[in-house]
Amino acid sequence: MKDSKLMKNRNGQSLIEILIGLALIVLGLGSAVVLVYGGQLMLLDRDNASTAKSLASEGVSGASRIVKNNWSVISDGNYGLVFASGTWQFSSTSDISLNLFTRRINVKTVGTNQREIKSTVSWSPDPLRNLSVELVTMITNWTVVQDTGGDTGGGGTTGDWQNPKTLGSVDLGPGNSATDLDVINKIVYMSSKASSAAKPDFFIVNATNGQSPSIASSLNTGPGLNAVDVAGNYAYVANDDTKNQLQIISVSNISNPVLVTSSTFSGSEGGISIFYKGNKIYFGMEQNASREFYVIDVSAPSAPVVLGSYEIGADVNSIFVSGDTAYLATAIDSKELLVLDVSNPAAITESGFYDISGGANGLTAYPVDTKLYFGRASGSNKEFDIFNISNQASPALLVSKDISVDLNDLRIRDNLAFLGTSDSNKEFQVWNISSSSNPTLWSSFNFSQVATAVDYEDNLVYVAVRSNDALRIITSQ
Amino acid sequence: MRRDGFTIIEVLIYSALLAIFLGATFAFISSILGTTDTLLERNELIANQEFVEQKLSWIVAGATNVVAPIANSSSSRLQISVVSSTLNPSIFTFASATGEIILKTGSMASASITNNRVKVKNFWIQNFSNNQSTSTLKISLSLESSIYPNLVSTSTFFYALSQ
Repeated sequence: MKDSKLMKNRNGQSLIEILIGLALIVLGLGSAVVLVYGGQLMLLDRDNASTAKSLASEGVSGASRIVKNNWSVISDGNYGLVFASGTWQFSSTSDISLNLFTRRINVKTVGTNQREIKSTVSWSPDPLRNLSVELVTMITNWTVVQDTGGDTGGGGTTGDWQNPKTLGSVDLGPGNSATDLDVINKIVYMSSKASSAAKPDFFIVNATNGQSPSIASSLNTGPGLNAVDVAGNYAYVANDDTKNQLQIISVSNISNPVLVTSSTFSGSEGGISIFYKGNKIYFGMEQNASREFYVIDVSAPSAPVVLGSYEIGADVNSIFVSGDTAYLATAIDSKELLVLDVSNPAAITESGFYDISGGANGLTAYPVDTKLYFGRASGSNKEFDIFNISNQASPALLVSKDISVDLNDLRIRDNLAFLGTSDSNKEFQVWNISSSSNPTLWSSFNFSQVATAVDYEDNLVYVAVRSNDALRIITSQ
Repeated sequence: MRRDGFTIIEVLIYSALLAIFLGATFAFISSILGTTDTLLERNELIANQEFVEQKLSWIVAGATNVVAPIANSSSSRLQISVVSSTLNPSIFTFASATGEIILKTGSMASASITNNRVKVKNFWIQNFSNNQSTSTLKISLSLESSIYPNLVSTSTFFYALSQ
């Protein structure tokens, strides 16, 4: 009886109450710890992110300077940075700062004169959390851009180039078909050949609104033009005539082009290819009794001066000059690709060539970095070739692809090649060239006639067509 | 004998537990409040550091020439000629007496680009003129909290001038 009374009066906590109380205390304390620790962690992350951003920014700045000043020496790849003796230098494939941050600079060629610099700073505050900051910038090789008269080609490719569409087109009038074009800042300069010498053969198309491009002006320079290259306020054209083969047109007012001067070259054959670089015109002619390749000083466009010439012995169908090297697509059976050293225009020398299988003519040459993309006329050979030109004296053929028709012109941007061909169903073709050893056809477009020339600018491809519908603007959107 | 209350041992044990609990709670609250203050000041340091960096980036982006420090020398004063006539010249000065960085742009009045919750302990500019054809600026910045001097933030910025 006494024991039961004692038990009845035991009003303290039961074990379960104590456990619940303890659990609540532990939970409260735990939450407080998490709160405090979490706050500190957030601040630490912010501090680290701020430092990482500074390092990434510094990486972009330093790497841009290195690449700009050593454009041809620096190859694509991953680099680390060191600042030594007052200069930024690349070192190894990454660098480590403050024993925590790993910085990797990635250099990637995205166009003929453009490179992407990506600065990635990564760090791991603990083994389960990997954080990173990434800054990207695009840089341009301004020395070359200046040389080419500002024709950069604009930004890289976006959208779906496996399904290209026509954005807009222009008709140059009956009997007039386009032979070449050059696009600068959405103004398209076109050369053409007409059924009558009395018709205009030089057109300026305002494609600022790509959906409805319009002819701003035109000019009749003679029987017809084969090629055009524009730099600054002047268009340099190759005239398909036995005289006045080189013509220079002032285009400072796109509504009123004015023929400034014409130059006649001996041999009585037409001019067929032209390339501007650094106040010089590189001019190619049809095979003639005289010479077919000329270097002309046009620093005073009204008074061009021939600096030198070179005997090719065949048509010079295309010219591209990079540095002191001219890449020519010729009609020589044994030297379809001819490489000339033009460092001294008065004494041009052959620095290399490639005799591609088959005798069909070279039609177009377009170098990008250490690769050269080459197009040929149709024949028993394959028409689309890619060369390694690391050694200019000895171009090495990487691959030849058969497209079974003339490859008239091409442009390269990022991992895509835009081809203008004579294929009756696939005049415009897009190839994926990510693999130099195995380029693949991505898409094609059917035009009414042969695509004679191609130019690229800001994710649009401008195609010259040998028909009334002479300019086609192709988009990926 | 009725035993309705606690024994002295129980009271002592409970009192001890209560004291431990209250002590721990107080310590925690105090720690949380202290940490919050520290976090706020640390945050202020980072915010000031980022603001100075942004101001430097803004001015350097339009730079045409570094007037001070001259090539291959160093100084606590940075004077830059810039493209914009309203910002030209832009001068960053370290006021060591007040622990501030003063920015003066063009004819506008000088203004501190750090606030009074931080003190600038070091602002040092090195101008490397090198074979990369233009100047590379190395700027060291050290800030400390005005309230908690043990809170320090040190950073180094590099700018390769595009001239």
